[in-house]
Amino acid sequence: MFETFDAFLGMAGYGFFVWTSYAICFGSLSALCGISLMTARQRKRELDYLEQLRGQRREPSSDHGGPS
Amino acid sequence: MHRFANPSQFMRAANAALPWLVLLFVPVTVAGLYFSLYASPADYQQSETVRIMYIHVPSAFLAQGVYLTMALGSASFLIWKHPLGDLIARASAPIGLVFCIICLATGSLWGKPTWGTYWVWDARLTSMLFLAFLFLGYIALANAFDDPARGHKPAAILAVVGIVNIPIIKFSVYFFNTLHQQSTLFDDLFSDDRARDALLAENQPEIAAVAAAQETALPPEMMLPLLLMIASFGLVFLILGILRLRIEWMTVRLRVLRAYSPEGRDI
Repeated sequence: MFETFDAFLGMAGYGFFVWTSYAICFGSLSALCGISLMTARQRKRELDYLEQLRGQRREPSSDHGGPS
Repeated sequence: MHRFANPSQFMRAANAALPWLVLLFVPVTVAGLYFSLYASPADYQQSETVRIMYIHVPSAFLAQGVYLTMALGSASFLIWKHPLGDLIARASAPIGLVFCIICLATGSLWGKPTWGTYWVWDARLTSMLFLAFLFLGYIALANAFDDPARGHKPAAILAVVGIVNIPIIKFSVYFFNTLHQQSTLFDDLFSDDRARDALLAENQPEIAAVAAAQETALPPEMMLPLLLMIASFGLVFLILGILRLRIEWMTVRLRVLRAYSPEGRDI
């Protein structure tokens, strides 16, 4: 257990190594998560647009009467 | 089980599981970080740098686990033409790459204060570096062709062939005289600490008796944060894996829709 917050940050003199490690881990996983979320959102938008186009092309045929 | 071999069933199950996985991830990670950074002892020899272990070891395990997933998915794609296998492999690759990079970087930062060097060309480090290249190679190959569908097979073959690297990573520390330590979790048959154990038994029999009674190489105060962080990384893989699987699934669907709709080709 650490006595002071400074001791916690200092990590017995090894603060640079410990905190940089945790920062790399957190940073790279956050970046991957962010990129993945952005890409997913972009694909969803493209997909919605194309599926909406398909939906629009189908509608005129339902005016002919009978089952759509 | 075969119910989930159907891609849309699988996607539905995966999407349903996602919020629960996130819900589980938060307390596991908070607890893991609390014990890793604060409520666990410093090592007698390595001082506070031992806290790097709680990131380094999970990322190493998971990097290999992700590669196995990628290889199994690729194998099922090659052997049974199962499209989901290829999607899972493509979704996993970037995650595995990031885990591998974390493992190499944290290992390097751990090595400097403990071994005196950021890098050494020993068997385990070199084979982990090779694993990173395998992930990169897979991603590059899968995306190298103008027609994306053509990249599936070569990438899948690379993933399957590269699986030989996994046992090399695992057993390298036993086969070669390496700087990297041997087993973290288990005092197993392969562990060559017999010489050290004999010396200990000769000079400090009480300590030797305790060490012999221990099933694991780590005391419980260190085992707990390690297991929590392994679980946390595992959940990261599942969560990001499902997210990326969605991306791959949508990409395939987009390709199909664009092929059949003239307007879509302009996008």
